[in-house]
Amino acid sequence: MNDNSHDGLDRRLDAWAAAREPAPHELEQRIAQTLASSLAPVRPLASPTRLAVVFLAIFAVCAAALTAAIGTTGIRLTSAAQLTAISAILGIAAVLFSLALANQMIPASLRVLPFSALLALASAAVIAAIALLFPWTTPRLFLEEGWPCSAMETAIALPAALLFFLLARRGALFPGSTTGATIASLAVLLALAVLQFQCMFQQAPHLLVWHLGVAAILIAAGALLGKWSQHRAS
Amino acid sequence: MSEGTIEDRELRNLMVRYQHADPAALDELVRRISPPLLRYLSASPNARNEVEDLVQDCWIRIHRSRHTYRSSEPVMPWIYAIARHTRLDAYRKRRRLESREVLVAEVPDTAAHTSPENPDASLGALIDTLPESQREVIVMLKVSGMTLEEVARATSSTVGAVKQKAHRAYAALRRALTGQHER
Repeated sequence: MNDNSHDGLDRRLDAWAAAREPAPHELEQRIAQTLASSLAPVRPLASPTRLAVVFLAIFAVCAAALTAAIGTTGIRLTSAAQLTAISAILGIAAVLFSLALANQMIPASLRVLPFSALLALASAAVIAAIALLFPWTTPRLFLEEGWPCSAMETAIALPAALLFFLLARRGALFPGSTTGATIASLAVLLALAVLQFQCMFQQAPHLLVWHLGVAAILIAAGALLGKWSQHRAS
Repeated sequence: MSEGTIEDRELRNLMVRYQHADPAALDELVRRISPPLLRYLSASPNARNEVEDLVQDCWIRIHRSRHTYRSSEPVMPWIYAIARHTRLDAYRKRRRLESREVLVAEVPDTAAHTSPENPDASLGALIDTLPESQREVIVMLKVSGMTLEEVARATSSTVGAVKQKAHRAYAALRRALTGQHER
């Protein structure tokens, strides 16, 4: 505020700020009495980094278990470059979304990047990797081969979102579209990773429409659900 | 982690004791934090009639969320982050109720801020005219003496965005004050 301190405005603002009225004594007493009735020791929540590690560990365990259960056809059908690029992008995105969710659990956590920018960056990276590294051939049965993938993605993402929500509820989650979209994004990433390793249709149109298209719908649904819960809470 | 001022260190200590269910720490926190909370929550002209309810609601939220406070962090941004959501929820609720009501008359609510006995009251009235996002930044910076980074934490924003809002608020206030003097 250095550029503002040369005129009288700063001094006037200081005087305005200093003229604070005390809170009414009876109000303070009422608040203290109300809270004292339910005063019990609480264990402080872990740091955002530790919470993010927990989310990431759950992500990794679920991804490994589901991949082992559903199959690894996709891994065999992709080249080393494709597999490395897509795994790296999904892995980095999982780290960043885990951190974003952990930060949302603790009021006044430092935000390095707004959630919308994080989502845009992650989406751009996945779309670019698929568009550049995977072949642009359209399978003959585009629709018939596509819907089972979206059904599986939804079937994985919904319980995963519920799990992440239950874990995140331990913090002070403020309901809203960002919270809903963050939880949905992490769950969708898990579903995308499992699907990527399992899917036998490794062509760009299939991946963009049936994997990423459904991911976008699920994240939007998460944001709407968050908005709705905010509406209900207020 | 910043060491903070003496007051901040005392608040951190009180918060830790509050987490350990010390009733004296709770009393002291309510005594120290309620005045700036009252000031922050009444900074919105439309919320003045219900400000005591808002302060109470905010304290209930603070109480429920007290396990999320970490002693390595400053207290006031954490308090303001919760207060901010309390205020936003109240605003949404008010908007919803107002949309269902037929507005008969707009009652001016600025009398207390234009008192001739207090020369800075007119500044208060000018601050009322700022957009909500700029007003809350000014209140946090000036009333609570928070740093730009602390305000960014409290408002889920970035330091750059807070700087910009503060700069715009100063520019708007300066313009308004110049206009007043010319009249």
